[in-house]
Amino acid sequence: MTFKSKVGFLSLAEELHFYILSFLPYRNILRCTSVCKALRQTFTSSSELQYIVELGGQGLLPVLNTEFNKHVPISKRLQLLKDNASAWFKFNIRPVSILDHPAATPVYSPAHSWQIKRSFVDGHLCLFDETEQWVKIFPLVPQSSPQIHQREWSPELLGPVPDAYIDHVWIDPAQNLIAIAYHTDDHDYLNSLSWPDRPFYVDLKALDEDGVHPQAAGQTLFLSLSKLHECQVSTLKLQGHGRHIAIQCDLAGTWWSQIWDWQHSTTSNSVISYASTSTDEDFCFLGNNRFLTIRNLYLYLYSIEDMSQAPTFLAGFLMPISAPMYIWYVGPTDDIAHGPQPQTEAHQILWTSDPEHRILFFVTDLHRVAFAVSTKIFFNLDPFKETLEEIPWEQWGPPNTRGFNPASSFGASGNRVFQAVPVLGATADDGSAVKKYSSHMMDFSPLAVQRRQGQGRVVKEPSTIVVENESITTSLPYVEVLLDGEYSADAHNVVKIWVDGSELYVPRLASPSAIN
Amino acid sequence: MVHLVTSDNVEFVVDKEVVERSVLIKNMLEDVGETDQSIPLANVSSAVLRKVIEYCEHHRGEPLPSADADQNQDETRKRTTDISEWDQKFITVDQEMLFEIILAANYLDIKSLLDVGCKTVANMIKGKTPDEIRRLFNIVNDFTPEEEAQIKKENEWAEDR
Repeated sequence: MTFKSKVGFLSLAEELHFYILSFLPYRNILRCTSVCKALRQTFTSSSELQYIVELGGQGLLPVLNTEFNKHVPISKRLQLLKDNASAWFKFNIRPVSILDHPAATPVYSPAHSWQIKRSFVDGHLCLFDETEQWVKIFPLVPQSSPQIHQREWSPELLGPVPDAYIDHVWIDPAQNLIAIAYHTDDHDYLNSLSWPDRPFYVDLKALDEDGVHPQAAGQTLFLSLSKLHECQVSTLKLQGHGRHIAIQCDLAGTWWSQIWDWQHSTTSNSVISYASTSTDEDFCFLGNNRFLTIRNLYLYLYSIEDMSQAPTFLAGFLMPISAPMYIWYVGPTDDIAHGPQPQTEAHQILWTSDPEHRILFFVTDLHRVAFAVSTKIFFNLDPFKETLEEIPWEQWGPPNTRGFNPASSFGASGNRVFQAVPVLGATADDGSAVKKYSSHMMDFSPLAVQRRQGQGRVVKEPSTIVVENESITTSLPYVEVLLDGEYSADAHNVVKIWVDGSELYVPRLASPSAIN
Repeated sequence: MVHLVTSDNVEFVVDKEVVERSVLIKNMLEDVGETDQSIPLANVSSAVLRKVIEYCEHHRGEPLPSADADQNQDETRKRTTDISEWDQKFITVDQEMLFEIILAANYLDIKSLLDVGCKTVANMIKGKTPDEIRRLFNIVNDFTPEEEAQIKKENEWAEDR
């Protein structure tokens, strides 16, 4: 006589165990591995489960399979991910000399070369010379994909407006987008315009070819400010994230920002405007629905979920000091992984950063102080319910930030901050003093802090910086790695860092004098 | 109409449109063409098949997931609790029946039902400690204390926050 055995969880085939586990968050997957040998076996034989765990641990989000990346096998993605996490520990500095690039040479000839605005995005260097009015883009990382070939833009290429003057540019190679803010002072032309035509424009173009960006709602975004040309616009910044793009400018005492959903509409009602006498303010996007402005070094958080209305104010985070001037601000920048096969198409992204697990990093020249801020505080406001308008520093700051007294230059990428520290007393072969730098790396990702075994030094203890005789103690944990060897350079020319596989790229722009 | 015979020898007569949610049966019918012969389902009991047919009846006429449904896998993954109200009620059964339904859905190749079953199990596991999971499914801890300590150490990083 036979009895049919009862069907239980363990009687399911391994492929079904795998399928069930694949629906779980990464922490729960890991817990399952310590339930019994069968489930542990399921985990160790599945690169997909390991991929989910690794992604979650690094605070990254998977990107939906697309035409271009769906043929990248999970095992390959897992390897890329692991390489990316350990890149910090086996990096080698490869100076990318853009001097080798013939087209880059003119950058160094004019006396105003220090005024050239540089941005480093996705392995591309974007140079914008406001005085000479040109924009140049160079691919810096040899195998970076998407790779945009070198391009140049001048006001003449912009099109319909006479006497166009470029105010700012922003590029996003991952989306093949260049946004150019420009205006005209041609009075005859301005007088011929009638509302709603405006003398101020933001054009959306494709990076790799001439013409309007294929996904853009139109060539030109319209500013909802009609009298911009009558105001003195002194500072202007253009920056985007995904489907959003924002402009911020100083209209003589009033700071004004507008945000567009550029693939959806060329107009928007999403405007923030406030009075402030400071001369340098900033903003950034936190994922797809949060917008952060930095005023006098205080952080003001908005929701931009509904683009048909002005951003909703969520909370204000007070910093321990007020620094109205010279914020040199970085991040949060994205960790974006591209498929291993170089392709011309711009959409083969494998994963991207989770906005809740980034750091915001900014430096202010005034007090010589830098802060790393964990972005997770901007996504859970419950602990601050009572004081959302102005959350005192003591309530949110110390455990979620890390302050530095910078004696050096910083660069940031993803969760990582690079610091070039001058080496005292370094001399050249002929005995003269030279500028030499040693490199510190700080990795703020939760995975690095929790899981790093024997590599780097985990810094969990609080540290104190002094600003104007006031002590500020902070304790956001990170892993610190010291690079072997030193290099000489003008540290102010460390632009940004770029981590690509196991390589760490530190583009340094030599100063004009270094060429002669 | 299609005739199905279960492992305990019960015959079910079902609409072709309903039973074709099973890719296995759909392919079978395509191979043999119109037939009055009954299809034996040696791996499925009548109690389970009754549930499976109830599910297929309810979802009659809904489009079948296409071959490139995999493309949206990552999207669905993020919403494990996302099971429709009817499906949730339908899948509120004892553990043995739940696993039987999963096995049948897998065998008959009914992806949407397999997802409902597996997501339900995933939701039961979610948030539980290894010990709670063992108790939930009556699983014996077959690790040695040393192995257990080793695994605990390896996984520590994800727990300690």
